[in-house]
Amino acid sequence: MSRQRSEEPVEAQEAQGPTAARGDGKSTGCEAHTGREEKRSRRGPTLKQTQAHRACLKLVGAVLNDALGALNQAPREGDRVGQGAYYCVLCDLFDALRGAVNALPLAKITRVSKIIAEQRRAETASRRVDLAVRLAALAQKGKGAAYDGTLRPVPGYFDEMVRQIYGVGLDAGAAGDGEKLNDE
Amino acid sequence: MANGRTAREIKSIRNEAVVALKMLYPTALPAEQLMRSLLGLFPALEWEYFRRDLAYLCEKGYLQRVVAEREADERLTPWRQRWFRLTSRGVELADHLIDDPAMNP
Repeated sequence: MSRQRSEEPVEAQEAQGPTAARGDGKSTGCEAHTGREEKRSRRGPTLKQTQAHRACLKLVGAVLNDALGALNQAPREGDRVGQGAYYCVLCDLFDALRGAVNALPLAKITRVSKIIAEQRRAETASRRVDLAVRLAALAQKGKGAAYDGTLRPVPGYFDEMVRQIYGVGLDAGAAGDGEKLNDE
Repeated sequence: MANGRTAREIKSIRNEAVVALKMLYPTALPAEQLMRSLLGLFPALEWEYFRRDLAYLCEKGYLQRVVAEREADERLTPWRQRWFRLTSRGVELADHLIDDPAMNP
């Protein structure tokens, strides 16, 4: 197994020896994982710094892919809301996991998760209706009966479908019409 | 020496950008976040140079821009807010499966 590509330059720098330290006293999130701040050479990062940085990113990547991987891998056309939410919270999570910020924007994440939940609920409902319509069409096809102009009774599930879409069933509409006729 | 940077520095930064995205693969990351994470290693990294590095890596086929749904017009999105992910070729480069002299310090 060959070594990782970018370990090579770092090792080469190590071989040359560290030069003057920057000594700016600033620490980054990845350094926090190593437990101590290291001196930085002018020519570039040391081997330890690079390794700590990569280990940090590796952990962040594993967590992000575990937590949000499903949203990322979803087909773009099929799950736009999921994709949007993924892009919306990814930056914040990345910064928080990397240690660049101390607190997660919980209000934002809560808002996004509520939007996703609502969207999922709506998708599930519409999928059920689509499925029922397709099944009905298939059943009709199976009978092989072409429409001959005669009115047939509405199937039972059709009332339920209408109720799901419009909030009221077919009976309500019929009753309303009846009342209207009586008023006239 | 190019733009005040040594060839070694340029290659190191490009290498680390590729390696960072490989750690997150297949996740994409905005250029802003990517640069901020690299600032931990290269404190003197400047945005203008890093933007050129990203454009270079895209043209080489190692990085791919991901257009988020909320971007109304992808051409008008500022570079800092553009999303990038590693291509399969970029993963191969990061895993040292293919060789590129321009990326070898």
